[in-house]
Amino acid sequence: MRFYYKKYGLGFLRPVIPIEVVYKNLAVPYEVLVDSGADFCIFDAGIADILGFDIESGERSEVAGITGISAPVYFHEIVIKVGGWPFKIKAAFLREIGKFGYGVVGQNGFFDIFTVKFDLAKEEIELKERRK
Amino acid sequence: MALEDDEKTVIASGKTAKEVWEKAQKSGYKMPILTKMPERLIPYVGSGI
Repeated sequence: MRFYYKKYGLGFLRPVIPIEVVYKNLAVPYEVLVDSGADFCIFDAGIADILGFDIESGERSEVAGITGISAPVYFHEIVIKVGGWPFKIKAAFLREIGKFGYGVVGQNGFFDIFTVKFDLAKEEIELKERRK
Repeated sequence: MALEDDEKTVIASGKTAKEVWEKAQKSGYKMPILTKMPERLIPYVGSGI
């Protein structure tokens, strides 16, 4: 599967791709940053609000970013669709995604499913599903 | 905010994902793409929580 870097303003190209977050019979299309530095997938709690589940009912953990500030997250088993294909993953939901923050797909729940090739010069991101 | 399938055209904006989703639904878009636009365009490194 091939996706393209997203351009922000004149100077910023970022590997932001569209996925769908699915829970029960509902799906929400959502743009996420492909972030190899993230330990797992973290989505905005607002997505869970749309899908109709209470994030605080999930397993609680904590995350910290480059600023060193930590925040609680809650894990839930959901399905993400990438290029239209469904994958069952465990994702964290965060209530306080910062002003500059994206939802991210990280090592567990994305990079363990796909090999990911970033080609900034071509502005392409290529995903290949790992053989099971 | 909510985008059309071209990932560029803005359908709705708001403070929360749910607010944006509901605005887009009312405008007739059943599957808008939700995204978060940075408030300012400055370099981004890692998850800035």
